[in-house]
Amino acid sequence: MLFFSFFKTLVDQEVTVELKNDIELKGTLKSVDQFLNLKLDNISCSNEAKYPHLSSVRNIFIRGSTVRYVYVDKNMVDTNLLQDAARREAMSAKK
Amino acid sequence: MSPLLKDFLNKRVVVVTTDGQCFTALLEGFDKNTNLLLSDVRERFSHALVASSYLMRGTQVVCCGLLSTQDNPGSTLPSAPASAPASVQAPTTALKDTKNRIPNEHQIWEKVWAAKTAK
Repeated sequence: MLFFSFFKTLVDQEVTVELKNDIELKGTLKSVDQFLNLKLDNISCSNEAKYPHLSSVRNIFIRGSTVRYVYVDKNMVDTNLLQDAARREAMSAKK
Repeated sequence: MSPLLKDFLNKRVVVVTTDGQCFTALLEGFDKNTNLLLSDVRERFSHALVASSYLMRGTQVVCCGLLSTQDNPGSTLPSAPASAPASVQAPTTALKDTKNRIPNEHQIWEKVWAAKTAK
């Protein structure tokens, strides 16, 4: 559940999501659920000429299982804190 | 559990599938596995009718976007592709297939079976 919480802290921030079918979508993260399904608002496709499928789509639901990467700004995440929390969760999962 | 798609109910949506297809359809329902119940399913670019009702497995779904040109959901077709330049309209580059299917996989298994039974 750690990354669910992590993504909840990113709500209303601008993120770029790369999907496994190579589409890259930039938009405002609106919500996230336990499967890390994402909802983005005001999306723009960074390679729209190649993938015109989502032109005239602004508000989109992305199934979590199809996401390859989520790019976030460097100052939106405290990597040390996240690393620490991930370790702690892994430790408690072992017990 | 997943209330994220609730806002799209009874609206016209664009659905991209894992085998690289792209549809527009009216979203009638969904569940927590992202299984989608769609109606009036059409090909995104050719507008050809695929099915009047369609249950799409959640595992097939890549994303589901709200068509923003519409304020009138329901029967009327979106005029969206008309606004796109003609060069963009035909998806010359198909979306990547994310299914990791192996071509002629049955032939491989046939050989495995033959090797096994030969012993």
